[in-house]
Amino acid sequence: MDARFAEYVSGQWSALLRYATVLCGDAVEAEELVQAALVRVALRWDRVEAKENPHYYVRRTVLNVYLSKWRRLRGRESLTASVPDVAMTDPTNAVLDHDVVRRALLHVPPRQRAVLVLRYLEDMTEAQTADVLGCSIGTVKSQTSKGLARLREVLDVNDDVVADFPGGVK
Amino acid sequence: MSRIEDVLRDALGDAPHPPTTQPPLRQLEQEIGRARRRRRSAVVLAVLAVVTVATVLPTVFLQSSSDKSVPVGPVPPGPGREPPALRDLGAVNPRAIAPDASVLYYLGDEAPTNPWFITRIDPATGKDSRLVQELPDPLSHLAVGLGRVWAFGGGDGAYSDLSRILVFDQATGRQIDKVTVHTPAAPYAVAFAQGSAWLTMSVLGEVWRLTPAPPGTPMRIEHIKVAGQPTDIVATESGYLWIRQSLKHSWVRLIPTRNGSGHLSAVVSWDGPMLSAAGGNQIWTREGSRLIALTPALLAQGISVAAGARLDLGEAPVAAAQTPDGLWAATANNIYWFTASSLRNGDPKPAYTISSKGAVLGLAAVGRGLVIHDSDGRLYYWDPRG
Repeated sequence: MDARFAEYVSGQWSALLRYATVLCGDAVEAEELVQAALVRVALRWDRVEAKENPHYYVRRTVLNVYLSKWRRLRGRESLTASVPDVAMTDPTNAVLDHDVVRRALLHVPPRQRAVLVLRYLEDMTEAQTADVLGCSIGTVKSQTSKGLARLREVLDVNDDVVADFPGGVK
Repeated sequence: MSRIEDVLRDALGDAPHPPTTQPPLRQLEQEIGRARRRRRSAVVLAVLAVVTVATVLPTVFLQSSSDKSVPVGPVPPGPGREPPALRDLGAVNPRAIAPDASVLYYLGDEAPTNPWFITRIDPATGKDSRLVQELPDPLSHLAVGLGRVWAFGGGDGAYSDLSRILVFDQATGRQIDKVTVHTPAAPYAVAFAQGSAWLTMSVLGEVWRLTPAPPGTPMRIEHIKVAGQPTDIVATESGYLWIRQSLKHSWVRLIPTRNGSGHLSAVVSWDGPMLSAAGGNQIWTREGSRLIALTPALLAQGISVAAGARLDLGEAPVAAAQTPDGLWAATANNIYWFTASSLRNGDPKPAYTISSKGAVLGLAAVGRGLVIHDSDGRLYYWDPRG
């Protein structure tokens, strides 16, 4: 393995795992996603390393691996012992917590979710997000808006309720 | 900025950091090595494929082959690797078929001059023998289970004995039992579980449990009331039976009991037919053009992931036959073979497909191949892997 690639992986491993975990909602699956993405990156590391920002390319690869896996599996549901329903909050008690919000994010369509994760976890600007996703800034804006709307819908809250969220709005 | 954005930013910022801090570099190195080897192999295969196509295609176009089979799966193209066409088994007016491991039983007639009969045939070799030379009256259904061949039908009032169930020894063809229904109400379907044959009696609103007894003793018959006109019946690996209540647009579970007939428990709202058992507790059914492996036991609990594999065949699936190797499926016009691994991997594409001759009426998985019963009154054998 290329020494510089190994060094890059060592430095980015945790951050990539966290990114992938938020994206797919499962730590084990996230590790598989990151590994599969890194194998792809390794095969063209010379070109990736020469890019202005290799991080964007690697994150885009993780996302592409996730989306292609999601596309492959969406026509087929796996049997599971646990019901994948998100525990809904009771707006009257404002019992929201961060975990509920992260789980609600899994109900946002994958591409919109990716936009939200890049914008609000990776703290990327709209331009940077567009660069990672290979789309226009306008698309990032519309996907962000739709993703947030879906999140509100899943959480069944409006901004007034969110305002009461204990750990939320500062 | 809206508040939901703040909440999301905080929630993501608070996302737990993964416990694994060291990357699995050794494992990653092995994977990268494998990927490089795969890429090299793919290049070699691509070159070979181009050469093969250039060599073989002109020959194929020149031949007026009647083989309509299309390998769409992993079998590499090349001379001698095309799956064989459907082979006519030369069956005589087949009315019903029933498979058992590597042989097929079919019920046929030589009307108008000759009586109805049951023949056993090895589709791979075409070798056949008459198991039952003469049936007393026309029957319409056939099943094999518990070492016996079960033939039943009637029900339209045209025959003196009305509906009947005849049971033959599978090895000798000797008739060992006869059950008269005493009303024009033919059994609709049969399943085998817990040492009994379970027949749906649609018109009577009952399921009959027939338990073979030792020679000289009458077969035990128990009646279970099932509302809503019971039609399809399938036994799953859990030992339970699922019955379609066609008028109630639902399926109901029947749990056999050791000393009694069985009791009904969960009811599932599902209007589709039962095409065949799908392994485990799943049953192949259809919804529009999709073939669906449904787990009714989960659906009965309101679990939304009760539908497993979903295969869109482009037109309504009419039959399915599951084997340990994979799945045979048919629409009226096409027949498909899916490997078990492609079904497991979640990207099911048919490894082989072929057009049927007449409209498909039924399928029977026999040995490595498939027997197709079509609307032209013929039986065809297809073994694409042969």
